[in-house]
Amino acid sequence: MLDFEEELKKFSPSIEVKEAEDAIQSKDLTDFIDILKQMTADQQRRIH
Amino acid sequence: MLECFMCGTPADHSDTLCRYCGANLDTYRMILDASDRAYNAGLAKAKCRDLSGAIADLFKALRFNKRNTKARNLLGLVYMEIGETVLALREWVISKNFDDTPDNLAQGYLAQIQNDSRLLERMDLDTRKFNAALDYSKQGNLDLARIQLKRLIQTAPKMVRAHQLLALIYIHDGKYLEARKELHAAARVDIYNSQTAAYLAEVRQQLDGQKGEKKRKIRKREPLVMDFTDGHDTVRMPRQTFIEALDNSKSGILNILLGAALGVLICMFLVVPQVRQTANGDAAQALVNANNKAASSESDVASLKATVKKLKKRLSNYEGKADIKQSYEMLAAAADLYAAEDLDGAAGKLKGINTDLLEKNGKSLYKKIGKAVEQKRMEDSYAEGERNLSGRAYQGAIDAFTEVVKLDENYEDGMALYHLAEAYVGYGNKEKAKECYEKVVQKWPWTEKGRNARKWLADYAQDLAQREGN
Repeated sequence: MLDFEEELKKFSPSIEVKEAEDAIQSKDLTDFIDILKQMTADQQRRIH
Repeated sequence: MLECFMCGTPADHSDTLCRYCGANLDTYRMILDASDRAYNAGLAKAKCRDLSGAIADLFKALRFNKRNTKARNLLGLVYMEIGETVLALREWVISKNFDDTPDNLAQGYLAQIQNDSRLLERMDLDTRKFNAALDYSKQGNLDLARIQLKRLIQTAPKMVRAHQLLALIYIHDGKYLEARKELHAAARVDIYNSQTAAYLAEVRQQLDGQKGEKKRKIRKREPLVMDFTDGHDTVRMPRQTFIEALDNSKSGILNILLGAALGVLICMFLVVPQVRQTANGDAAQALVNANNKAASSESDVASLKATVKKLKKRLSNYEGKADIKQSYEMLAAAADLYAAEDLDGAAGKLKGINTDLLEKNGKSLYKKIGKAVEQKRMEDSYAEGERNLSGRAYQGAIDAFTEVVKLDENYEDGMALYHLAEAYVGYGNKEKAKECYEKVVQKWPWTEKGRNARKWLADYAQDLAQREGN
């Protein structure tokens, strides 16, 4: 039997238009290529 | 052509390392390939309406390569499909930020929304309705939540979470058939959503359980005859149901009384609560309606007020001024008069022109003529001022030089200002003269007029000091 309260907790509010700016700015855009860049830069620094 | 991720140097397919900075291009290629594979998987799932699966794959694609524009744009589309408007906008704005070329589809999507202001408002209203319904649910006002969600589903039938939340409320209330209907609607939008599947499993289980109960009840039958002992005898008689016993009864009055009592009980326990529930439901509906109306009319009023303010501001630019056609006609006339060296006539025409309505070339011509007219005015006024000053018509000199100085204080290298001071002295207004001489000293301290002005100021100060001493 489903627990109503527990299931209800899984629902989070949708983001409204007035919060769009925050939603865009707070998005973490780090990707694997950024990590690769960081690793390569560290490596090059160590070599030089 | 691949570019090095560190320095941007173009690289061939066969290059393992960048020729310029030595960065590992094989790893970079692997990451790009992984991103593209995840995008392809997401695209395939989106086409089959497995939107949750598509979102997961597209997320992965962007985790590998955030600049995978196709993945980001598709993610936005999927979000829009399930009713998450702001998440869709977020992805498209970020996509546009990374790739500002006209080919980027995100430009078109954003333009569509920007061009239709009511569309964004409607979407935002749907989001707010969902959030309100969720709040009601968490506060325990399930009736209000149910009403809000039903209305939301009418305007946003593809909002998966709205269907799921409504289904959850139905499950809580034991209305499994209604819950199943909502979950099927959610599944039509997003086929393999795990939450929908979990709720459907629960509903099926409950419905199967209910069917089993009914079957068990039907199987349990009483025997048709019953035995009872009467002394030493065992009597077998057919079992009568209660209804049959009543029918066989000789007492009709008993039947009537029984019927009346039953009627009263039915009224008390079935009809009255139902009426009360309907009344409550109506009241709840009215409250939800009022809330929604207030919310949407509030935003309507606010946006109307903003529009009126904008229009009033624009209108004020046009009040008392010529329209476009008139403005250009006057500009053309002013240009003709300017060419004919009738600058006074040109000045007259320029006065009536509404410069806000002129385009770039029109404004440039207006400025050119305006400058020439101003120059002429200053020349004429300066000459008149000099005539009046030498003829000791000091008021006339003051008027003429004031007009020049108003347009250009530095006219004739400050001589207009200097002569104005002289005119004030001749007129007897030494305070005004002092102001003008002070400016001359400030701007042209080492010229002859500057020295003269300084001397006058010193003499004036001495006079004042002497008078105060006396």
